[in-house]
Amino acid sequence: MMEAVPTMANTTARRHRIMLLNGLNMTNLGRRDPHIYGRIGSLAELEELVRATGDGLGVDVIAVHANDEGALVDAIEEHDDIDGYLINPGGLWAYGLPTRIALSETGRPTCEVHFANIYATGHESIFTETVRGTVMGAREHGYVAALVALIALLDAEQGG
Amino acid sequence: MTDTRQVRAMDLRALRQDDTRWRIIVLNGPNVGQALRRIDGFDEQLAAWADGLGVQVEQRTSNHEGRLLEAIHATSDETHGYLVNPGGLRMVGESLRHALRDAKRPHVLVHLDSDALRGLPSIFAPSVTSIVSGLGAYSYLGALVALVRGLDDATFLAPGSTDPISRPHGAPRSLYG
Repeated sequence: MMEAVPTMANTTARRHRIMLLNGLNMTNLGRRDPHIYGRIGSLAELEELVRATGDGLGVDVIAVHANDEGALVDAIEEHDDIDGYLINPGGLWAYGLPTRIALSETGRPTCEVHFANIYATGHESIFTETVRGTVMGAREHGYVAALVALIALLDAEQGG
Repeated sequence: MTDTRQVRAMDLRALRQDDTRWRIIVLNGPNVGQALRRIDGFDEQLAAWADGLGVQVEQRTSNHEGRLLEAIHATSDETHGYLVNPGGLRMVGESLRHALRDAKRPHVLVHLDSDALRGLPSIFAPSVTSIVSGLGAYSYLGALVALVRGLDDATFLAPGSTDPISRPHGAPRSLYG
């Protein structure tokens, strides 16, 4: 006789929750230099790309964006159930220490994403010094790449 | 502790916008082969990712820089893009860096650990198309996804693309240079 017996997997497993953070100036996506950012129409379009990709892979994506750094720190502090982070710090790449510290304090894996290969112009993100992963120079495709790799990493380290 | 068997099955083909079977060469430099041998089933995982994406991926792994140069020279005409983990050549592999630029194909710098990007700057980071670093073996997965989606994109890395914002040669671009 078949009986529905709850297993550890289906009673305790929940979908990974990935927070997608977009920092300063990213709200202007769609009006920025297409040689760097490509033809993606808006930040909303980018967030939908990441959300839909995450849904297809079985994770929840919580998208947050702000032009005030404090709002990013607030969002990181307010959610204590996030498994991993993707962040494009935007203009905070050089000085976003409060955001970097907030991410470090979560103890969760973070992957930074940049549309451009910022090393090409001699820039170095302060996030690279402490975050787990870095993806840059692949336009919006870098977000998809970072999400896929981060999900695989989370599965391997804590179970799917 | 990582356990690759816990990684979910992913429909990687669904991430693509085209179905061309791109040919991609993975170049692993000095010390990298040894590091990859310590990752459980790395070759099988890489083959499964390639198969899932519907692209052809071949590895060329050598502790000798000249072998890597010859691999690029011999393959660039029929190859659509490269992943490169320069390993111990990260500070000194000027010839490898030139060979990749000469190939005029998109190439993604891959590192298992982002320590490779910290401290003294890598000579590769400023000249490669893209970088995927710090996510262990999954850096290779991310790099493949980024490269394949880029090659599928006629406004970005697609071979022969003439769109004014495309870069089929793989040269990097950044803001405010």
